[in-house]
Amino acid sequence: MTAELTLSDAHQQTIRTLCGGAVHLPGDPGYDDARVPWSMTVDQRPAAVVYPACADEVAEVVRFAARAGLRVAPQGTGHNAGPLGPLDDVILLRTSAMTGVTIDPVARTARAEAGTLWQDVVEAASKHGFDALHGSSPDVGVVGYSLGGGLGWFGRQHGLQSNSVTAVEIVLADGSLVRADATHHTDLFWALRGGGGNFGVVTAIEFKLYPIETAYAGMLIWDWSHARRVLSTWSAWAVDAPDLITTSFRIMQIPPLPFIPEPVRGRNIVMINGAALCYDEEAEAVLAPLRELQPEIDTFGRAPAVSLTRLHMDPEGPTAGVTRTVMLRELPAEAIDAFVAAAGPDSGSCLVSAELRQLGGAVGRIPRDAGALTHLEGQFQLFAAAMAPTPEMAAAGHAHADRLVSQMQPWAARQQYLNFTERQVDASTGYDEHSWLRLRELPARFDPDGLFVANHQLVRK
Amino acid sequence: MRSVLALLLMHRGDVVSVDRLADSLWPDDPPATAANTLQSYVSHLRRRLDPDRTTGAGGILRHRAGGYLLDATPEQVDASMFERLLQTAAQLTDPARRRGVLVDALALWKGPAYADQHGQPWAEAEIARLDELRQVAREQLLESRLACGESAVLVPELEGLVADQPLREERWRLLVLALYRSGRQGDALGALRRARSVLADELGIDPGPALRSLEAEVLAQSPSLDTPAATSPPAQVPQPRTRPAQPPSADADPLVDRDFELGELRAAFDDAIVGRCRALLVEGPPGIGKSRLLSELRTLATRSNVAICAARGSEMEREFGFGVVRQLFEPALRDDARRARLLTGSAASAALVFDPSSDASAAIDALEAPRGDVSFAALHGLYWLAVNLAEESPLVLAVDDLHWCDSASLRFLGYLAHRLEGLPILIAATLRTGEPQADDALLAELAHDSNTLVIRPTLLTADGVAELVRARLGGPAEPAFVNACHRTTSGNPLLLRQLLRALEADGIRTDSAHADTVTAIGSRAISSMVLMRLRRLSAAALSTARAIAVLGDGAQLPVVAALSQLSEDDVSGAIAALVRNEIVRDEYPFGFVHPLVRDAVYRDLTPGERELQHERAAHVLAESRATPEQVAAHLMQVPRRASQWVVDTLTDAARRTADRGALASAVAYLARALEEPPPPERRADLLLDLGWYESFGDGPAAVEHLRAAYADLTDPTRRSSAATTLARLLVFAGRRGEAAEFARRAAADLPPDAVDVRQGLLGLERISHYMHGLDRQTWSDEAEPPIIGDGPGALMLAAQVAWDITIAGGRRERAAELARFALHDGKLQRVDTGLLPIVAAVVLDLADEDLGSFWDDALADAHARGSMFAALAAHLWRGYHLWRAGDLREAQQSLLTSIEQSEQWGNPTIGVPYGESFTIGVLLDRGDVQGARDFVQHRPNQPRLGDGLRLFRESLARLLIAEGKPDEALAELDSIRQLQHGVANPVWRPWRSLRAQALGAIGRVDEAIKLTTDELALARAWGAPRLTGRTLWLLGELRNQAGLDGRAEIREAADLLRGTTARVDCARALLSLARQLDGGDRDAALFDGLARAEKSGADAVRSDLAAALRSAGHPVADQPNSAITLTTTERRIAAMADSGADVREIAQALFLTPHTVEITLESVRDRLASSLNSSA
Repeated sequence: MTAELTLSDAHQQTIRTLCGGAVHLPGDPGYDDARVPWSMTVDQRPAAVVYPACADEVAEVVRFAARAGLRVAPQGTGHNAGPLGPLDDVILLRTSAMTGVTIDPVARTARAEAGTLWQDVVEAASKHGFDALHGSSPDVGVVGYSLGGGLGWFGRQHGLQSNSVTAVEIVLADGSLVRADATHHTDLFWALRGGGGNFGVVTAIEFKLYPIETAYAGMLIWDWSHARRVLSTWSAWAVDAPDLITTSFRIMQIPPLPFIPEPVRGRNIVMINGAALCYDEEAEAVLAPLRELQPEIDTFGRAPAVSLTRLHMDPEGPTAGVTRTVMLRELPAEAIDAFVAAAGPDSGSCLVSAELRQLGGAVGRIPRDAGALTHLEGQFQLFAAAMAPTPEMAAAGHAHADRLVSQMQPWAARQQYLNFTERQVDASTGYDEHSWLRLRELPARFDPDGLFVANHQLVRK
Repeated sequence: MRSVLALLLMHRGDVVSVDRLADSLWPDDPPATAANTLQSYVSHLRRRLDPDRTTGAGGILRHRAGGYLLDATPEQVDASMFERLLQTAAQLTDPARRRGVLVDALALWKGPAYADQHGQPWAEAEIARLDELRQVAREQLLESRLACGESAVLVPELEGLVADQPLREERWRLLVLALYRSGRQGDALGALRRARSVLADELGIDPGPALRSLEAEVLAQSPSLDTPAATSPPAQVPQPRTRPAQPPSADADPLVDRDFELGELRAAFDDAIVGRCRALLVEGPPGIGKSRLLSELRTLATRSNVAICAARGSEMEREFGFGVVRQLFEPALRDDARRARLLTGSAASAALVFDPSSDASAAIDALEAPRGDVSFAALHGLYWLAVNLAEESPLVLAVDDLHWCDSASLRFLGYLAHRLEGLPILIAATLRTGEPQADDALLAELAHDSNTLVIRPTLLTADGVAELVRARLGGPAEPAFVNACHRTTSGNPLLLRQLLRALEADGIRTDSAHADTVTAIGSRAISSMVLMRLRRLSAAALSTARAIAVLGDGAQLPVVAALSQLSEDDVSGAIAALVRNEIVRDEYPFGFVHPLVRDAVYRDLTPGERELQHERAAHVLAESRATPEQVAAHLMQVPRRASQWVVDTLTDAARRTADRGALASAVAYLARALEEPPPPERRADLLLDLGWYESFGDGPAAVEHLRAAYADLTDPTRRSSAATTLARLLVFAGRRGEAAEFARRAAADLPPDAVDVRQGLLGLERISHYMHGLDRQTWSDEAEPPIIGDGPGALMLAAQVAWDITIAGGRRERAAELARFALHDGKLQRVDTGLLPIVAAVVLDLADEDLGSFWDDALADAHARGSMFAALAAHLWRGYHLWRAGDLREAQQSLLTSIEQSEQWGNPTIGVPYGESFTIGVLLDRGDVQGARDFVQHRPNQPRLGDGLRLFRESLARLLIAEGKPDEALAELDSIRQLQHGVANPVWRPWRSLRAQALGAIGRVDEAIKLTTDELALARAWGAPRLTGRTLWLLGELRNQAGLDGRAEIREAADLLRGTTARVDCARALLSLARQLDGGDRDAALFDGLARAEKSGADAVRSDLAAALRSAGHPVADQPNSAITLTTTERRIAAMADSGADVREIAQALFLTPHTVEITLESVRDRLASSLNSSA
């Protein structure tokens, strides 16, 4: 399969002058490097890839695209690029050159440029004794994560990251750069917090920081033969646990790869990990029921906040994998049986991870001044992942993940958490009804010609 | 008595003899009682020093073997104690303890050392030594206090110290450090400037390395300047600081993947410094690391104690005549004494390159040489300057960005490169590929020289990239990250460095998660990477960078400040940020890390902004008393405003630069001044100057401008001078016939009373008719025009008329008379280089008149005036003269020089064919037929014109005859039958005898005899013995060949030629003569011929004569006796060497390179030795 040039000669000449020359067209030597998103199984073939370094350059790209009859898909790392669809008439605008974090220790906010990764924010903030509501991977981009919700280790304590966003700088369809916050462009500000990349190219984002220097965090590990026993206890515990702790339960079939530490390398295990924001004694009391299950490995203890981005041991750098997700209303005994039957021992599953994230707490409540994504309704978020270095393995991964998700359908919530959803779905399912009615009107206002392409399009044409 | 004590103290531990003591105490006139007096002093001293002792056997002051000895422990003598404490302090690392010791040491001083002995010769040295130690101790104390964290409080004290002894650089260094650490960066820089100016004013030198590196550190706000942490041991204090660890700069990166290139570099360096001539060219695309290799060479040179002269070409100063040469040599000439030493002898004329108002320039003015015609003097002088420098120590001339080198400097480098043999000089330059070159030919000359080593640095490998990534960013440098760096930069070092700098500035970590950031930034062009960083810096940084970009490399702080409208403090702060961001070089004066970076910043200015900035830069520079050339470089870029100031400055710059011999620059300045435009009344003058300067390099342009000047000029004197210049120029540079036409019209335009000018124009009109091969019917039958007066015009006309008579085969005596008149007072030679004086001299030569030392004088004069145009003409016709006189080797040398210079001058069409033709003739006379063919083969096929064309083709025919191809020769001669058919005199156009030789060779002897007989009649009519003799000989030979009797002709030829200088022709005639003689007469003729042939270098004739002698029973060596085959030059060199001149003196006097002189002397000695052996 070859990528084809869709640009006229004149347009090619013009586009090459953009972004200081950091432009890759099909056939260019750098094109293949530039078009690869984080998930290497997604084969993006855009009309062009551009790397602006500042808002001015972003605006030039946007104006050029409008003139040339092209569309623009902003992309940072390319996490969750799957639902984007065909890109033949799309300029993939990658924000990787727009890096930088500024911490305002007085206002307790951080400002991150469009291409900034969470790890960089966390490190910068930690120097001032703060932390942000980052996710489970160090190399997820701040902007995409924050626009789509953002579920992390402090979620049950502080809610979704999108609701901690305080301002967004964005280049709109007419090429203008605006700053949307609580007092300016308030509709836009509301929509951007959960509404994803439907309204323009975000060039920088500001959000709240929390005075978190350390957390009581770690993991508990059992052999996967204990899956049912552990899950039964954890699921009951999770629903009643205080907001101060956020955890995740996983059945993992860990590949025998050399960079994975000895005790778990090549093993099938059950893992509970998470973080608590409280004193040691309190945390120990909260964790006691889980520890009674006598884990093989127990690493819970006082840890610097900056270490939490790697607590989940998510793979870093572009990776080939497939995922499925579903939000669960509840997890009764039958559901636990179904889960273990589809992902546990004797399931025949090839999933590297079958995960249940503990929701509830602040994530499940609607905060004052919430954005478009107000809260997540369910008790658990299921996330299944398989490695897909070959097409055959990808197919097998899809099959097993599909099977797990369909087995859990009886307990599925109405809502879908779009940041985890790596295929095209009805976007209305991402929001509560009130938000959706307001949100669906906005693309016509801010992007009447449909210039911008987001992974989860609010309105499809 | 105190003196005795002082003396003994100074020699503490050693015996001081009584005599010595006496001599020191009473240097002039020791009293008779000296010994006694001394004894009493000593005993007094003893009592004072050692009150308890009574005898002389032990104790402090002892009597020993005819003298006295003071045996005090160091503790007993304050001076020793002081020294010892200083040594202790030097070994202490803790500044606080060092401070304590130094305080104690200085406390020992109670007043000046040996105060009573001041003025005593024997005490002076010791007093000076102790004083110096004290000064050092004071500096060290302050140094250690600084190291202890004191700073602001030290400033007044340091100011005092500096005021005391402003030439001690260490004090300035401490003062600057103290100011810097007290947060007074501006004052610190101010102090550095004061230091610089004090040193320059008092000593004429630049600050030493310690101060220079300090300056760079201050500008860069280097962390190494901060007070060392109290716990860490300070650096070895007393030594001057070497360049410390720096903020990121180009030099901080390790050099990777350059083992091969470095090997080549070292080899070339090693070769060069032992005099195996080498030039080194580092060639490659922008950013490949050419300059870096050059700086490695600099390091190499510094380590080997090889002097280095460095310069950098800049796009901005391309028009700055000799700009690069000045950068190279000016630092070496700052010291007056050294300057005087370096610019002596032949190097003196280089002075005008550095200072046009110098004596050298005055000397040239005194010669009434036309302005601007000084290039040769400059080149020659610079060459000798390099030789003189290389005599001090081996020398590296390093030129970065040679592609932007001004053409005058480039010409010098080429000139030097050809003369490097035996000199310990390495020329090293970097050359960017793909850059349009203004001076392709000059660059090619350097690049394609067989002694030039070309290094082409390669792209970096993945491993090399990884190493640089680790060195710059630290951290893990994960493979995905490194790969991204390598892929997006393709391993181009500059691109990589800029990428790493950008990544560093953004704090990007080297893990695989950030690989995409690398791709994002790395796929940008360098310019946009730079601008991206620049935009993130302060507004002051941006304006500073822009000011430096406009000013170009080497910008000075005050000028940058003025142009950017910032305070000097703000500028220096901005510079620090720019250095940290690897935009500006960590050096003073300022410049960018790479020309591409400068380009990025410069191009970021909108075109209008750029021009306005240049305009302001010009004014700022003018106010800061920069040279007119520096100002002019900017004026070349500013909008045209009809400004009088711009015109004046450019005119001034043009004059100065022309005085240096950099005519191309003068031309550029004047061309720009004309565009301004100048006030109408100035225009014609500017055009005249412009045309004049152009006439030395660009004929057609000169013609155009001189025409315009001629049309506009109103002043009759200037106008007629323009006319004469233009007419002469048109002879060489105009279309066929243009010169004649112009000269005629110009003459008609002259006022009636301009008689002399009109005569000159007439002379030019007529000579151009001839040289361009036009129909001369109009006046060839007329009577000789009258020549009125003896002004220059009269002399010009006289020379031309002499020529007319000569080619018409008219009265030889009259021609000679007119030619002598033309040359009689040397006036013609001064107003006209290279045309009519030459014509007159050639007439005399063709008339077999004695020219004396005319050609040697002409050559010496050309060299003295530094006119290459005159030199090439003198060489050409001197070669012709020597050829005809049978000094073939010398002739060949002169002719080849002339061809080389002609080509360098860039006007080959009219001059070169003469040289080519004569050279072929010389080689054939030498008997070197193959050499002549090779010479022809290697000549470029350029258009040839008129007389030169005719001569060249005739020589080809002569060559074909010698090669045994008479048919082809005949065809060649047929094809040029019509060329210059109006020349009747065979002395200049011997077409009949030439044809006769070809005909004779194919057996058409009758026709040949007929033609030669006709030519003999013409020759006899002209009456020059050499021509008649040669023709007679040919006729005789042909008659013999035809079976007729040619003996009478041959005998007459030999008799005639014996009395002339025509050695080769004479030798041939004698060989022929010998064949018709017997016994002693035959042998005498053969020996006579042999001597002449050997003297002339006509090897073929010589070997025929030798063979004839051998068959007559005379043993003659195969090779001529070396002693008598020395060329004129060889003889001159040998003679000068005999009279005690050294190689340099000889080389300078004869305009040769020392190496040539050495080789020549060696070869002469060898040949003399072998000839002595063989004759023994």
